[in-house]
Amino acid sequence: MIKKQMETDLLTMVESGGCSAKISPLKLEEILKYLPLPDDPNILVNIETHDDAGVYRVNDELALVLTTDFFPPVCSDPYEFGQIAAANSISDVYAMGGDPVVALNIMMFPEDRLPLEVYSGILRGGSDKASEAGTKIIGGHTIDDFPPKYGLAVVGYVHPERIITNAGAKPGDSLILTKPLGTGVILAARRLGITSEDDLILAKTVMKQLNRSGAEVMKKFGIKGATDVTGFGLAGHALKMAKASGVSIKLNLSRIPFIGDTYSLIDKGCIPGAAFRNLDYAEKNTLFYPDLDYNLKMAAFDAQTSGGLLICTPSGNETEFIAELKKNGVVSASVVGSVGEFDGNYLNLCN
Amino acid sequence: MHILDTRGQQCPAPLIATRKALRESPDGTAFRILTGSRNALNNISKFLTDNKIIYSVQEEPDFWTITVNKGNDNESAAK
Repeated sequence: MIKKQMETDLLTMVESGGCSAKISPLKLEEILKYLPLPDDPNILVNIETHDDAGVYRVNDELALVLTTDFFPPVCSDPYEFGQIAAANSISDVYAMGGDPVVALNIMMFPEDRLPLEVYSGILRGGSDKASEAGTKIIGGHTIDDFPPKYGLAVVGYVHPERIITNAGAKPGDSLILTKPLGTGVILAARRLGITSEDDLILAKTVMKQLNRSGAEVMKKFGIKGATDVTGFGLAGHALKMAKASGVSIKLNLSRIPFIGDTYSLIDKGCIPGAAFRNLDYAEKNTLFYPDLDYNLKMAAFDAQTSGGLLICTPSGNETEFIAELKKNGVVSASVVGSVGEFDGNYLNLCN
Repeated sequence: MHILDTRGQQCPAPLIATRKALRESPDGTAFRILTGSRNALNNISKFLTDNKIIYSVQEEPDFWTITVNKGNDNESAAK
């Protein structure tokens, strides 16, 4: 049925949108074990370190950062969904210290069930967000499928000696997070009709925000270790970073900035399934402090869509680094943890 | 016994109902949650296990019944 007259609410078509729709990290790890890793000295970053993107050296001055990401709707409006999906895809290049250059659209769209204006709305949102990032979309591919899904495959440039990876965390570093948490919780609450309009607008603003300024500041400070926080949650991505770097990461969860009423929604039991799957994945490598607040713990595992950067900065530099972030328009930047020598648990979670 | 029928509800509504019932039920009592969603079953089970709350699951032809025993030392769930 073609619903031409009605406003299309994309959010009614999915049970888990955005990065919450990611496959469980435990299952993914099981599958990837059987995937052969190509051997080539020009492959500078591959999947071994669970990084945000692959990096391939072209010459001594240039390497390509390659990444793709797509997901089902996270909001009702097609244009906004396009913006958020594009910001999320491009973020992986920023997290690696790269500059996004060109991209391809990846679209799954049910042409018999939705008006084509929805299709063009999503693409316009993606295109405008890519332009904001200085990225040119030069093609794409569409498959007929329901519910719709959208994202980009992005190619960026990075100097081979200035790549920022999951493996760059060093004992003594402080961890800085550049966006507040809670998009998974707020979106789940929105589907149930229990979130405020203000919180929804806040969440969408957070998801649309490019990680560009954060990436610029990282480059200026010569940062070596960072990742962006998406489907595996703050704790899940911190764990991947700790494993890749052979260190222990401690997160002080009471320092996390939240979007609106995220904490009280969790307290009511509004905890999306993705948070439990992320917890399942991380449990065996994590020390939970005995007095750890349960709501904070689940917030740390909430799947984020287009989340912030988690940046390793040498201890002592935090104030200067955060001041620079704020000067560049990153409104929510705070120290949320620290890196130490490996102590038997890759991840330590405390209040 | 108090029964929460969450069949047909989208996640995480069944978990919200569970947490509310845990807070409101008197200590030492039990209640039941009915759900037709495997995701909801998994999430509620994980939540209860994580909070050291005793429960049991019975599989019916097209739904599950989770019986939750709110003991006298289940304060952690209410935190």
